[in-house]
Amino acid sequence: MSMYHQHRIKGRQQKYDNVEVFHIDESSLFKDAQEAKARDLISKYGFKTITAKLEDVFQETNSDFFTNVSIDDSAIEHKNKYPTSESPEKRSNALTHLFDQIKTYTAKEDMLDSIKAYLIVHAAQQNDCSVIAVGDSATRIAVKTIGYTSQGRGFSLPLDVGVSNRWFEGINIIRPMKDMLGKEVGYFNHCMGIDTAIVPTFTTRAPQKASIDRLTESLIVGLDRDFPSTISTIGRTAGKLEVTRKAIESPQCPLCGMPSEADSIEWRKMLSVSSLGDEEAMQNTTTPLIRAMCYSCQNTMRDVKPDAGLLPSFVNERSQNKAHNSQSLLKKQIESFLID
Amino acid sequence: MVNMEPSMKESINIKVEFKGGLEMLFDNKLSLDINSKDIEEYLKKQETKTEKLRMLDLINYLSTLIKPNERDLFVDDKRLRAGILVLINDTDWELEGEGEHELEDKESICFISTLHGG
Repeated sequence: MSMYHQHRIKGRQQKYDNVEVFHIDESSLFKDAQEAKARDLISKYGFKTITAKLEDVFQETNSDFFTNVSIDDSAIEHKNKYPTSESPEKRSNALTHLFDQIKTYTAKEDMLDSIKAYLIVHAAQQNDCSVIAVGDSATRIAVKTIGYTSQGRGFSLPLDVGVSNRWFEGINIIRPMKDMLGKEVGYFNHCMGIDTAIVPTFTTRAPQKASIDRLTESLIVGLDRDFPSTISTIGRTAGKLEVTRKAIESPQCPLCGMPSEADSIEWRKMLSVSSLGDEEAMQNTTTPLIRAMCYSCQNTMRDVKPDAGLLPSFVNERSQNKAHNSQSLLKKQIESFLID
Repeated sequence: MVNMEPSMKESINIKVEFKGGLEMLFDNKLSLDINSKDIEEYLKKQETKTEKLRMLDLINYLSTLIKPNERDLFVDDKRLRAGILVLINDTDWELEGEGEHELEDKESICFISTLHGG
């Protein structure tokens, strides 16, 4: 998370006249998160800050769930827009309950990433931001490239690690720090006296084999120590990946929001030794939802116990709305033939 | 050119700092003042004899301050774990000989974790 703040500060160059910092409060999931310190750090730079809490995704109407903290005014305005009918504790409980019911750290991290990705895109849409700058360093991109590939996320990989991602309508997700090594960022922060706030993840202080992401990270930074070009080689190779037309035309995965390859269930039967658990579970009501998900999110859902309760409401919204991207594509194609 | 070889009897003091989440392993202490006598004592127990104190000795000594089940997060096979940056007096330790660097009095050594989630 601390990376998120720093990269946004970089947006200070004149290229963009208006920069807003989006911050996700993860303290309901991670009690050790230095939330107050994080907010303090952001407020130092004087940008307008939008804050969302992770549990906000458990709201029925998602239209206005952000807590706005405007630091433009000298007095910090802390406006709470939650409808009074729903208690924050209820949402927080739903969130912790969902994560308690996920069996593996890998699936937990995936779920968390999906929720955060949704919150970020949603915040951009609500605040009319056309560009989202995320703070993935070269090291992080290399870890993501290998980690996502091994998790079966190859179909959307060019979008997940590419320098620019226009998958979400009207929004361009850029990675301005893609050429900076984690080491360089570390030294820069140290030399410039930039403080960091630590937001732990599920695998903080956990052994290296705790999750695929953790394992990939130790593999890559370990390799890079003895072969210092490892990270940039992975990054440059991944940079050559192009988004296929098939991916652009695919429906959106309800969970991660990325393109979902059709017939992934059949695919799995033919090519993979893994299954989605017992056939009986596959027959239950969630099956259409699972079918709409991408291969990797299906794997994630396999590790979610059936009594996990509700998934965030955006999952359902997206599954009902799955044609939105392909429809807009069609509209674009026939645009020139339309008469105003 | 005086005092080229600090004799073992004269103790030296080193300041160690932790950043990027590493402090969590050391009881949330952001910095530690280490006296060379402590390291020497540790080395004696290990029955390793070195004439000069090296960075590697410091790293292995520091790992004894961490809870046994979390030592892997700092050292990996007696080597510093990959992904942790080290600065000796604000200089990358790779320029200073890494683990073989000889510790000097009043040196400031900073460990920064760049790993995801601290």
